Amino acid sequence: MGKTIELEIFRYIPEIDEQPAYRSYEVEFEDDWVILDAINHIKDKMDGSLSYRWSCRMGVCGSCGMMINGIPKLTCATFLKDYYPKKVKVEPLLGFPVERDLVIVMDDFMTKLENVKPWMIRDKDKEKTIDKGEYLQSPVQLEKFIQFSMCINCLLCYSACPVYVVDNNFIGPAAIALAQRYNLDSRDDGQDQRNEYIGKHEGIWDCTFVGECSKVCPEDVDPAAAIQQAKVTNTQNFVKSILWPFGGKK
Amino acid sequence: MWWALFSAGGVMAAVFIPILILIIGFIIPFDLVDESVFSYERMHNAVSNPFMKVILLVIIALPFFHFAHRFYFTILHTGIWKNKPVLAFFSYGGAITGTIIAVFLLWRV
Amino acid sequence: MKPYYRPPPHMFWLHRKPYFMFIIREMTSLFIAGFCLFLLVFIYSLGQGRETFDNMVAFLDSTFMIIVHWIVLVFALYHTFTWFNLTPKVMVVWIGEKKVPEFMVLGAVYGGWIGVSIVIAWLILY
Repeated sequence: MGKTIELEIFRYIPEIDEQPAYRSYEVEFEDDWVILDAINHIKDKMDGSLSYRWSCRMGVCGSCGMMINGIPKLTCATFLKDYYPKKVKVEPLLGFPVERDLVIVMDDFMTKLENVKPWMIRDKDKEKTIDKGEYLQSPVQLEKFIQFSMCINCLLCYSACPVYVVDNNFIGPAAIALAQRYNLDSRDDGQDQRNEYIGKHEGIWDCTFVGECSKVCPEDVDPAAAIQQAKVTNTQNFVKSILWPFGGKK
Repeated sequence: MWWALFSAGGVMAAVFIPILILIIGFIIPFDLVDESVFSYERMHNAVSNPFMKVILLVIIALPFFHFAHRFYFTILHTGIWKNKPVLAFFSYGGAITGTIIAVFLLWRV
Repeated sequence: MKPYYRPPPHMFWLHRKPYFMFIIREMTSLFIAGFCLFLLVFIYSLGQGRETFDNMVAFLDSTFMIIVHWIVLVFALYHTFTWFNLTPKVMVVWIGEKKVPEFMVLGAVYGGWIGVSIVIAWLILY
């Protein structure tokens, strides 16, 4: 038979609870169980009132991020056996309001994501008609941004970022990395619009390169690198705009 | 653009400061080289060279801005003090003051 | 909806080692700036004349100053290593169509650092 591990889970049901509380569950598990398996087991067999987000259980959808013993993780990719025999403390992602139990309110991130315009922006006069063919991109051009396109919006990086957790005004790792993903795309012309947004104080300049966002990222996006590179580009643009007032932005 | 000054200062600090500490903090006091190397005449000659003054100013003043920047954000993000304008005034103002003093002292040599 | 707002953790930098090391990294700049101030004092003594300067050099011999310099050197080196290790993340170098691998950027940076240090030591000491 399997071993038994204790999960201490953050509970908050807004209709009933004034304050959140922790509740413990003893779960029998096999070595191939991830934390999400145990939470599903609790929901199905022990306590149906538990709420949390999940979908794909294979590290693609980005919805099952939680704080595991204080560190943001995808629960579908974190094994119970790595914690056994110690107990596992499960909390909602840090830095966000809690809607219910392990479910966080994502509105703040959604607004920021929209503000960085994570889609292709093209100058009108550069548009081709369909019969002229597709917009070609070389492997080298692809390599410049492909890494930053892997983001699954799981928000682990936000919870790992002390700057964001302390001050929610910070635009944050994932949104800026996605801005860079489009800024570095050879088919895109929207750099000026995006840089105007991420170039604010609450944008790239608030980042102090703690680097934890990149460490917790399940897809190796490296948002910290994206932010520093954006700082370099913005600084260069600034210097150019002083030295060459007429063509600084190009 | 405080960040430009910050990162320039970071480079100066990373590249030049360790060897300078090694020389001033260890090679001089442990007499690892002949004393004449650090004689007043030799040092005075070297530092009174205008070109040398500029180099020294860069090496000394930029780390002040590097410090100011890190100080500002550390105080802010650890929540010790949250008054941004006043904090910025003292941090970056301090670095500017340090630079002016450095210019003045180098000028006088 | 009645969301619960968790208060931000107090002293986040004491919670986990990476955050603590981050604060240490930031605080290296204090020691480096302090050393730069000391350099200024040194330069000031040069401007004051021979006697002040010789006293200054003699002052370096004191145990107190040697201990202080040890501490400052440790912090300065921590700054140098953290700063250089992050360099390839910030500066992505492309030569033609090829991205220069991180370890080569690191090698160039450290090599350059050692080279510059030797040149400075040589210039000052000989």
